[in-house]
Amino acid sequence: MAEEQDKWEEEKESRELLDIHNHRRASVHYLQAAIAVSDSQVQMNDKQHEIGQTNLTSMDKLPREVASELFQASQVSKVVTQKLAGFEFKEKTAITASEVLAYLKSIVHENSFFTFGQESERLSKLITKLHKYLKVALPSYQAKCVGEVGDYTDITTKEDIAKNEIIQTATTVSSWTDF
Amino acid sequence: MFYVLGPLDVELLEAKKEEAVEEKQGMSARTIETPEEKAALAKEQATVHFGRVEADPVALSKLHQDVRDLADKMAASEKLTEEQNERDRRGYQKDLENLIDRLGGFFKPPILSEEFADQDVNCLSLVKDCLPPLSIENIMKFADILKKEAGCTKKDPYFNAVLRKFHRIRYAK
Repeated sequence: MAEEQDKWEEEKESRELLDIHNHRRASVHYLQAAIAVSDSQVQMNDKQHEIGQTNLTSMDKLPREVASELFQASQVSKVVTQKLAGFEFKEKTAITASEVLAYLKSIVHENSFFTFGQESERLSKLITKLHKYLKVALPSYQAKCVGEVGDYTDITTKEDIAKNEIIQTATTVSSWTDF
Repeated sequence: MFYVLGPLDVELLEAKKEEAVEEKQGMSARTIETPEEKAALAKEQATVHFGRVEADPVALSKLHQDVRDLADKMAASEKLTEEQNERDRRGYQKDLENLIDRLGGFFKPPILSEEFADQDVNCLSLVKDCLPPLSIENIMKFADILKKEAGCTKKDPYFNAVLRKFHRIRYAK
């Protein structure tokens, strides 16, 4: 009976040790993931003009509603500007990377006003679609704005604790947050 | 700021500490002798620290700007002659120490009355033996740590050691 109790105590201790180690690994993983995402966001905000200089490699998967909205905007611009003296309107024939990036930025801003409702859901889906599209069709976007965020997996045995360091020697991971 | 600080890079810092002791000949440096002290130190050095520190946004922004200005001044100074650059670098070293001291200030507990005045910590003396060497690259690393928009992941033994010391101001009794 006493032996069983000792064994149970030992297992409990090792389970707790494993849990603590996993929580620590998870916190480092998610902090690094948050840093990768905010870094992509900063790149998108600060380097949009540089990212937009690269040409789109394909137009096939550009969401249709985005393409039609951009052409409609061009027509609206035509109506507004055609009466201006000396202004010659040029028909829009192609969509550039800068336009898609500006559109993406505008809907990201628009979506931050209301975080609920049907319109917000539609915009969220559209942002995801555009992100997926740009990831494939715009190499500069792929290089600067796609932070790698891997899946986190727990370790399951006590023996793995020694093999899986929480963070490398002399490494600092930090992030400022507003409250 | 939420932060996670990896284990200390002991070898590199010990080498630097020995150099500093050799320079200060005649001054008695306290050495750790008992096995218990050595074990406690080794355990502390291998511990991963997790912590959080708050800073006044204006003070943080000013500190970040000052760090970036220092990097710009250093870059401009490098275009001057060797003597002028050497002269400027002495001033910049003091600036760097001052900036690191200001970072340490965020970790200090608030002194709310005279009763606690003796609990004030001299941050600079704490990190004197692990200050990063003065270089534009290191100053930019410092600026990255202070950058508010995005966090940073840095592998640098000096800033790691400095932040570990500051962490102890806040969390160690």
